[in-house]
Amino acid sequence: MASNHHKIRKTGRNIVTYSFLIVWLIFALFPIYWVAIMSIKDVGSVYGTLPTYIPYIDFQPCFRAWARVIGGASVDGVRVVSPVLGRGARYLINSILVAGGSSVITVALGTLAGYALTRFKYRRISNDGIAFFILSQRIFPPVALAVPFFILFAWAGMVDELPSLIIVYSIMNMPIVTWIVKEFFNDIPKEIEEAAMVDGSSRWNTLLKIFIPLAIPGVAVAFLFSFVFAWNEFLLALVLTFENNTLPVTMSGMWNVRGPRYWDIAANAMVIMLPPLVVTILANKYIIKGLSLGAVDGG
Amino acid sequence: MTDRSDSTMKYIFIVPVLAYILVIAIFPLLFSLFLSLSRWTPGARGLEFIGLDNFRALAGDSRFWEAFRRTLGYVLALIVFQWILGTFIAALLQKNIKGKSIFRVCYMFPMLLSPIAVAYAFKMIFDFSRGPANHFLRLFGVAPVEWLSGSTPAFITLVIVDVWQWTPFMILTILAAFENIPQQMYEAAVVDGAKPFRIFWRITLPLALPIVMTVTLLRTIDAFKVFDTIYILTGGGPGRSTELVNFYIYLVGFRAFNLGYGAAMSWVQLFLIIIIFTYYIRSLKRIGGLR
Repeated sequence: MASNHHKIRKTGRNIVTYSFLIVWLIFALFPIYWVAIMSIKDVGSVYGTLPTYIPYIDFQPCFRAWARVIGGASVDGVRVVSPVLGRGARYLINSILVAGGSSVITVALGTLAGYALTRFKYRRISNDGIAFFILSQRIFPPVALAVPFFILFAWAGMVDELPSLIIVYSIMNMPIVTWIVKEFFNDIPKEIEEAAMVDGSSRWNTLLKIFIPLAIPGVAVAFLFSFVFAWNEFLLALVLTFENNTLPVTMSGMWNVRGPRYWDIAANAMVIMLPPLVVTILANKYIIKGLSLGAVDGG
Repeated sequence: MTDRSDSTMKYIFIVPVLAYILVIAIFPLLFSLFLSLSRWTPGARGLEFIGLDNFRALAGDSRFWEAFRRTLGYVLALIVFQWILGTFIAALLQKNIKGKSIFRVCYMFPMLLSPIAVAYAFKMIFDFSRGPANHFLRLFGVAPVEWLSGSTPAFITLVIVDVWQWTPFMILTILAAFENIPQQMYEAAVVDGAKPFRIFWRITLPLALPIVMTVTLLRTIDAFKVFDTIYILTGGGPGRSTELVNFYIYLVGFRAFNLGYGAAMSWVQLFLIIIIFTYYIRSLKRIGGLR
């Protein structure tokens, strides 16, 4: 009798727990879902009296926005292309070049630093001191860097050029990349390397043969993070470029072009959200560790 | 022999990063300090040294101080909501839940998304006549809200967007902190017959506190940087009700091209943030957080 009573109370508590978790789940996924279905709506289903929620049930999907995103569509004989592929996909290519280029620099330097901070001992400035100095770069709001960078790049004739964005993003991501790499390298047992060196292998050799193969996953995760943050960045690209834009800047101008064309905005937003979604699925084990700068494991 | 090559390698590995940071980050910051003492005009005149004029003007610029007060309110609101929601949901997830890993991965999706795309998503959701937010409210008989064109609702909208994107971070870090607590800590309490709520309040939460405070610090640092969502959702309006410091600096620096004044404002902001963090970190060290 008593245990039965206990059981009912436990089931009741479980129902409450699951309903809260599911409410948050819906809250977390709904905006992404909304953008996804908005991208397959047309004028009629967007500007109806009530919002519609489920394709084929309360509205007929229309893939014209995606046609424009993928290859361009003809309207009255004029080819219309979405910003994602605008000007010969220039903005898309810019975004990839800037995110990729800056990540290569950041990860290369960050990996060296991560190795140095976990394998060597610095006496004059302690390892912790160096690590904190690198991390402290994170405190500066991007706008505080945008102001001096704008003038310096203007003097160097680099405004509206991709290298300026590559440089700025590489420094923006340096703290988080160094930190992620350092956390990963800390977990690689030093004993294997030490044993190899005792056996007469030089440090370079040990590094190439033993350390690097073990270090690749950590470096890859750091690269993915760095790529996504550069891909998403908006403010610095907004002020440092005029025509040679990246996707976020191009997209930011979409709202008032001939009234909000929700479906086009949504289709472009889906494209820009794609790399982060893929990275979330691929690297979800490391996201919490990465974003909390190693403060928690969260696997 | 290994010793000598080691000591050169030691520097070969660390000097590039430090040099890169010094040239690419520290030098522009020092330059911006010089900039804050100057007037910059686009075109031929260039830089003109004007001493402390920018800072004098700033002291009397009520628009800046209002923006700063608003920013503090925004950051505080975010941290409080994300803290409470994060702790609450982490406490639920901590139990033996079926499908835990599915919840976990789905909760992660918002964090890495482009703020621009996220802002557009919410612009559509909070649309006055066509958005699902007002449609949802109407089901409960609540009158539609001017989410983006009323001053308080617009501010609340910005808070909601950040709560959406970053509460997951708090949920998952706090959850990790909870799960790190060794099982023995609970055993004595269970033997004493303590109620689950009491155990949570007296054992789980205090033991997790250092990590919780550390991630709160990280969240606070990032919360001050808000810009993208304001740019897309409200443009600082209606009026100036959502004009936070970074947005005001952007308007002054890159719309009015008063870069010297913009630099002065970023330094004052940075100075104020550092004061706040110094106090915060000091109290953090006292409770044993921050490793």
